Amino acid sequence: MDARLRRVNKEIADCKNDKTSNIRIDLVDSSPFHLKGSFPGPEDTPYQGGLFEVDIVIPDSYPFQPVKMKFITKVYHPNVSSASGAICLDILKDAWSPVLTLKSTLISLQSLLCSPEPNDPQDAEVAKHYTTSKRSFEETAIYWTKTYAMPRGGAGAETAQAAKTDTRDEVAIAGLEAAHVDQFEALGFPRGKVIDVLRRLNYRGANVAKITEDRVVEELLK
Amino acid sequence: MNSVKLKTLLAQDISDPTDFPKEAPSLQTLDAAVRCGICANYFDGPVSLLCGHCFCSLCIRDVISRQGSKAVCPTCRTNMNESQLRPNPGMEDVVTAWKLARPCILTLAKPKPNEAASAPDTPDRHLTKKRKRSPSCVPGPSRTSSSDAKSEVDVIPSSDAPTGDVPKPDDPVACPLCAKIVRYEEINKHMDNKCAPSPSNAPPKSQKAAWSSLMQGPKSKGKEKEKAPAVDEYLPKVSYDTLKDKQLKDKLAEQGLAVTGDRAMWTERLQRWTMLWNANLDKSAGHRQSRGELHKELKRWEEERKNRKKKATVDEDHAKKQNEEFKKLVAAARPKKSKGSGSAVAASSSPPPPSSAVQPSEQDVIVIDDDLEMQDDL
Repeated sequence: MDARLRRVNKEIADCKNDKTSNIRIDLVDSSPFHLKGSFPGPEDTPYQGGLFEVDIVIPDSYPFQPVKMKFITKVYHPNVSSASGAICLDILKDAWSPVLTLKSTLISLQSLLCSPEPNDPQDAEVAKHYTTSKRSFEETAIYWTKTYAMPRGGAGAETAQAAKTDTRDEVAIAGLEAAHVDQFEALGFPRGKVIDVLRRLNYRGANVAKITEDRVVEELLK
Repeated sequence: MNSVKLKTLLAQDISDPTDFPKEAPSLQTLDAAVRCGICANYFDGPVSLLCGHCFCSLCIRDVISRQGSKAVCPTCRTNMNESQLRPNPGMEDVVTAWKLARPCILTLAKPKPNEAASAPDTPDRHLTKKRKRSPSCVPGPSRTSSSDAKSEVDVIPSSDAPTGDVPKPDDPVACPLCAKIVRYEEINKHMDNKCAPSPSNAPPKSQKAAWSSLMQGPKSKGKEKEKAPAVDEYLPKVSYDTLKDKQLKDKLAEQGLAVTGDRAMWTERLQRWTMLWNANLDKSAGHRQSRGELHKELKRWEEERKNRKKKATVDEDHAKKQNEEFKKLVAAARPKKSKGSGSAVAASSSPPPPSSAVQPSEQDVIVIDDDLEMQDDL
């Protein structure tokens, strides 16, 4: 059997037998080289209580080349693309070492959630949000965790409620304040566009005072 | 359904530290300690680096060939190069001994988990090993002492010294592999023929000493020579780019390798062969493969690569077919991107979930040139 398959096989067995780390690896289809990993959000972070799923693709030259990982679950984090789930982490790129395993890499992702690195961002907007107002960022991250990462059974009532109040949902997901969105919507701009522009301008916390209303309107008119 | 497939995958017979019960974490640790961090198998021709970390020779040579002059130790990331590799025969003996002892310990550890659980430290484990061996595995007088892995490492250097413990040729000895009782003078042949995947069994010290003294006999020595490759010299590093086609071909012929395929393939073949050959020399004489076996290994490797390449070309075909579609999508998304975004950063970074009708198509593009996007953000 080829060495790569052997090793992957062992790594899956290792995760299956290790109940303490709470890390799971499942097959996606019949190929052992396309997997789905999942781990719980770390405690005392905005991601606590969520279950985060990661798409894992094992390249031909594994373990000499890094595994390809990206989040399936949407995550609000400076080092994770909020749209594609792409991850910015050194060990997934040039700092990869062949002694790293699927399990240790997933644990690294878990600790990436504990310690965001806004100076080396994957998602520039989220990173700006983080540096401008950490509290507002955390609120948004918690909201994303509740909306996207809660297991279906547990948070059913909550997500149902969130679905009902659809508009508030959008504002919270963008990490903005409803009052600001309402203010510019009242000028006659479509709500979706207002949210889009305010998010891009990072209209949050101390930045609100710095960005003039004229500048916002200018952007809205573009 | 996926879990069923996973089960069949896991059911394949692959030994793993987790074969040992959870109640005996020390056994799991021990089993993991004699495995290479790169291939997760038992060390095969272990070599140490300058930093002291140990890997299979072939595995670490593969790493070096990929990383080139920037190669670092996979464990501690200190710089390394090929000339630092030193064979680690002590570890090799530990692995051989552990492979032999493993089934015994496994059967001991499994039916009586309580007993195994009460063996968290080395002395106890040593005890369980011994207890099992003395009745069934080793009735022969040779195995008077069994030692744990640690003391065995200490013992290796002096193991050539003869001991008075050698059994007589007619003494019955249990084959350490299949537990069959064989006459001592025949055990060599017995194991060479059937039940010995590796010709050397280097368990406890006295046994090892007995074996090495036996190896010095004319008969077994001749056998050794036959097995050993004709020349046991390391193949030098070559800068393939500077060689002419003819020289490259000559080099291939020199090693008895095929000259099929194009130049790139010759280079790869020669590179892999050098790696296999040198890694083989890092093993102690008893563990080495013959030239023919190495040739087979090379063939297997080439086959594997061919299969993978086939798969890759299929993907390329798909990309070609879909190219038009991709272009259309990109074209559809580009103007919207530049029109809708205030700054370049915002355009390349990814927006949160689709909230308006514009965004879905934009998202499609992001999925397609995923890598590009990552580079942008870096």
